[in-house]
Amino acid sequence: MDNVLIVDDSEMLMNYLEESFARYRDKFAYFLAKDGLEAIEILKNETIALLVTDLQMPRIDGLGLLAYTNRYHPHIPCIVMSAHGTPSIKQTLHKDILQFIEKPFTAEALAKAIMAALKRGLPEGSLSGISIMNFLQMIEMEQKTCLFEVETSGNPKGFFYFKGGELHHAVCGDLKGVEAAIKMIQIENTTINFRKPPGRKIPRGIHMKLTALILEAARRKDEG
Amino acid sequence: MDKVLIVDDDAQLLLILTEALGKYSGKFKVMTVRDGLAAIKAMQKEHFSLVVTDIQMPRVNGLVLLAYMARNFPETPCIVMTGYGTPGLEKRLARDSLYYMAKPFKLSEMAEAIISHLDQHIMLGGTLTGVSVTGFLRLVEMECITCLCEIKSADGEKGYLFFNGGALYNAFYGELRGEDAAIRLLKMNGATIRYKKPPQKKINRQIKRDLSALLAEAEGV
Repeated sequence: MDNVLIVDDSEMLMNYLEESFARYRDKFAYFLAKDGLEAIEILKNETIALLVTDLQMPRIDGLGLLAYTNRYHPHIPCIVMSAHGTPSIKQTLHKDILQFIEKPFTAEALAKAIMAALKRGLPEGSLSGISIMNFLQMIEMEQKTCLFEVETSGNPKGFFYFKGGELHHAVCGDLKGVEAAIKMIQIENTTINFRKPPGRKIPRGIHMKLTALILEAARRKDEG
Repeated sequence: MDKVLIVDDDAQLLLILTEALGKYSGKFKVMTVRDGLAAIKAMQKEHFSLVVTDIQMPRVNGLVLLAYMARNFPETPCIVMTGYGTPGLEKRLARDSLYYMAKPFKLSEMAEAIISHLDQHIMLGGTLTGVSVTGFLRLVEMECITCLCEIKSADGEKGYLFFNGGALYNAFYGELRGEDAAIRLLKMNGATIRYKKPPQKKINRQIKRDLSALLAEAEGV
C-alpha cells in the first residue's frame, strides 16, 4: 500500500486526521510529522509515494522541506496545505507535481485529494520537479524574507532575494535584477537551496510585481 | 434549542470543531466567528447559552470579548481555549468561574465540556455566573498580555491596573499608586472591567508581589 507523509505542526489537525482517516485504512497508509526536520528523517527511512505539507512550521518549514524533497526525491508528488491560497497559485493545479489544498478543509476533502494524487501518480513532463516559478509564488504567498539559491549544471549560480514576500533583487552570473530573474525562471532541472538572508542591507534591484515578471518570462519563452 | 458561539481565528480549527460537534446537533447548535468583534456583533443579534473563545486573535482579541461579556452578558458562561496551559491553572480558573481548555484538546473533551455547561445552566436555573473580574485578570497574567484594565465599581468609582507581559506592574486609583491602589481595586464590589490598549508612555513598575498574593490579600485570606 502507498505511504503518504503528512506534515503539520498543529496537533489538533493531526488528531482530527488520525481519527477521520481510520475509514480510509484500506486505501492508503500514512506517517505524521510535526515539522520539516521530522519529515526529512521519515523520507530517509521510508518509501513515500506522496508528501502532504503545511508551509509555516518551526525548525525546518514547508519550503525548506519542499526544497529538500525536490533535490533528493524529485519523483515524489506534493500537496501543499495553505491558508493563503492565491488564484495564480491555483492555476498550477493538475499541471504540476505540486498541488494545493486550501485551509480550512475537511478530512474527507484531504483524503479525496490524496487518493486522486496517488491514482494519478506522476503527471507527464513533471520530471523536473517543482518549478522555480512555484517556489517564487509560495515565497510571496507566505510573505517570507529569504535568499533563494538556484543551481544548475552549465549555468552560473543565481540568487533571488525576497523581503516580506516581495521580490527585491535577483542575480545570475553577470545578469542583475529583472533580467537575472527572467533567465532563472526559464531554467528547468535546477537544485534550489534556502539560505539565511545576509545581515547587510541588499539594495532593491527589482520593482516589477512577481506575477508580471512570470508573465514576461512566459512571453519571451513563447517567442523563443 | 441552545446555541453555542465559538470564536477562534484559526479557520481550520473552527471547521474541525463544527464537524465534530455536528454529532450533537440534536442538543445544541454551533455558530463560529473569526474574532472578538464578530463575536460581539453576533451576541448583540441573538442569544447564546455558552461562548467558547480563544484569547490570542488579530484585531479584537478574546480579552476584549470577555470584558464585554462581563459587562453586558454577565450570566453567559464561557469556555476559554488557550495554548498557554500551566499546571493547576484549571482549578484556579474554575474557582473564578472561567472554564479553561488547553490546546491541543480532544474533540470529545470539548463536546463533554459544552454539554456539561449547558446542563449545569439548566440545573441552576440560569444562575451560573459568567466572566468574573478575578478570572479575567488571571487570564491576562496567563496569556502574558500587556494592557491597561479599567476597573469600575457599581457606584462609578474607577481605577486602572497595568499589566506588562502578564505581570502586574502598577495600579492607579485616585491618588493611590502601586499595591495600595491594586488592593482597593481588587476589593471593589460588583466591579466591571474594561480592556484597554496599553499607553504609549513607559509605566514604571511599582508592584513587586504577584497577582495571586494581592488577590489573597484583597479577599482577606
